[in-house]
Amino acid sequence: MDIFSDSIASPFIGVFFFVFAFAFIIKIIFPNNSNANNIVSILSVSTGFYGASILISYLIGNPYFYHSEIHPVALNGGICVILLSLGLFFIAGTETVIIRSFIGNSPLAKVLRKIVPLTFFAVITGSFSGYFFQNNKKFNYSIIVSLEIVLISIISIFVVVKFIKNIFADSKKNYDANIITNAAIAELNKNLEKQILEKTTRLISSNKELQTFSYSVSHDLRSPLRSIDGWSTALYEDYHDKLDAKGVMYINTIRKETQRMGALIDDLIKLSRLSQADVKIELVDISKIALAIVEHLKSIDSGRKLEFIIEPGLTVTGDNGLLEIALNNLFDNSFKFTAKKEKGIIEFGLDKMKTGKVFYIRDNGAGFNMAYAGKLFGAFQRMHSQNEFPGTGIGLATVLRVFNRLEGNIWAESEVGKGTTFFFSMKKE
Amino acid sequence: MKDKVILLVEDNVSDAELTKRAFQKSKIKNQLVVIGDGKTALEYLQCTGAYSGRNIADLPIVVLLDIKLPLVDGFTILKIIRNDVRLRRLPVVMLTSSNDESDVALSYDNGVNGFIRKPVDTNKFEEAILAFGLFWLLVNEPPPVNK
Repeated sequence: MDIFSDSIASPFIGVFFFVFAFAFIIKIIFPNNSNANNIVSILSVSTGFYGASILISYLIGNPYFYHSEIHPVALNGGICVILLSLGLFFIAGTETVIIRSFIGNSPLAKVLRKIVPLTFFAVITGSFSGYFFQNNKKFNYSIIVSLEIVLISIISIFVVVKFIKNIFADSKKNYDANIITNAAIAELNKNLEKQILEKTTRLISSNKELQTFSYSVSHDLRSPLRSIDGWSTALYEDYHDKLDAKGVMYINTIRKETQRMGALIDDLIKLSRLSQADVKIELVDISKIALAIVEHLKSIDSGRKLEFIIEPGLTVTGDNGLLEIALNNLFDNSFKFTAKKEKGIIEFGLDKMKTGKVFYIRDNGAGFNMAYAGKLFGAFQRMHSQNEFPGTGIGLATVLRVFNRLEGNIWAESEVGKGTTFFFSMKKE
Repeated sequence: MKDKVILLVEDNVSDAELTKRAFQKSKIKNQLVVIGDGKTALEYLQCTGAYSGRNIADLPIVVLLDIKLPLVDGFTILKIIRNDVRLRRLPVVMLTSSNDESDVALSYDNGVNGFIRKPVDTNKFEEAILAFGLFWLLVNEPPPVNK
């Protein structure tokens, strides 16, 4: 057997070397192109099959594949083809159509994994039996090969049918799994709905509790206060001739503090009602509100020297009632803190900033230290003593609550002794 | 008019005493009848129970009604008064600590004639009582008596 031919190489080998060179060039030109990788891998597999068949032919001693009548291929040529095709296979990488077709759980991969080795088996046994029975006088070569083909076909059909069955079973399993997953999702949704319902119910009940609480505070807590004030007054009226100046002062202090607590309760109730109030967004004439407040303030204290500068015709998108509450508190604030000025000036207007409309209320009052600005809008937070400027410390907390509800912003700038400016803006103005 | 009474339905004794005091100071000479619970107030108005001997036509000038009351609350009393042909024209004014919007609304919905929220400041309360007395005794034209 002429295994290592020393004659010239078969033209087939020449064609193969051309194919290999072509594949390498493709890979060099397009090193990271997935289509190039696919071409290289397909060339690798097809040339590999040919090399393998030559090798098998030599191993079983059947010259059927290598011993072409015209251009026989030597074993070393076949081995060369196999090695080069393996080389192509590696340079093509793992992300190719062929590799991806073999791995994973796809039906194609499952069938290919069985059919390809079966084909190899068929080729090997076919070649072997062909060689074995070729010169056998007892058995007809063609009948043997035909029988073999029938046998291989039956096995192939059996394998394919079995796999199709498996595939159906798998997809049924997937389907069932999907149904189970869907059921689980439905169950989760149901639980979620139940939780939301529970939370909402709890929220409604706590809200109701809060309402009951604030009702009870406004009704029941004020009642004893009224009694304290009433009987203190009665004590003064009926017994003041038996009391000295100190005793009278004590009674006055009791009354003053009682009334302060009454005001505190009233302010707290107003604050708590803010969160329950319905918000009706509309175009509000904010200058009109400001002017009405100014009229009221002028009527309270006509003896004071006060100047109001109100920019007319300003509008804002918000809730009329809530804005009125906020402006009332802001103007009350300015009114209160300008009380000790010789001439108080309170100004309301609009700054057009890049970020949008910013309204301001400016006064030349007592002002506060900006170091405490963070506490300004907290409930019960006060910047001045009761003796200096009396108050409950709820007014600005109420203002903040209003702008929270209207999704607006409120902030302040101040300087001690010079005055304070409150700024506010709405979400889309 | 001077022999007519003003009915005060108030369960808090201290509050009732202070209201009485305010009336005295306002120089209103009419008798202030104080009743401490809703059920007795209805017996008084409808002349039943302990008050069965009373003449129903002898209506008070005005009823000062608290909302929170033992046994029968102020709203229920108001509804009963408005649904009773003998009492339906009787002037009723709420006198309460509450200024809850829903309380005020419900009172007017049920036909109340006025709503006074008692202020904490006694001086202001006395002013309110004085104004109240002046209006109902001197200014207001009372409803015709049912015959």
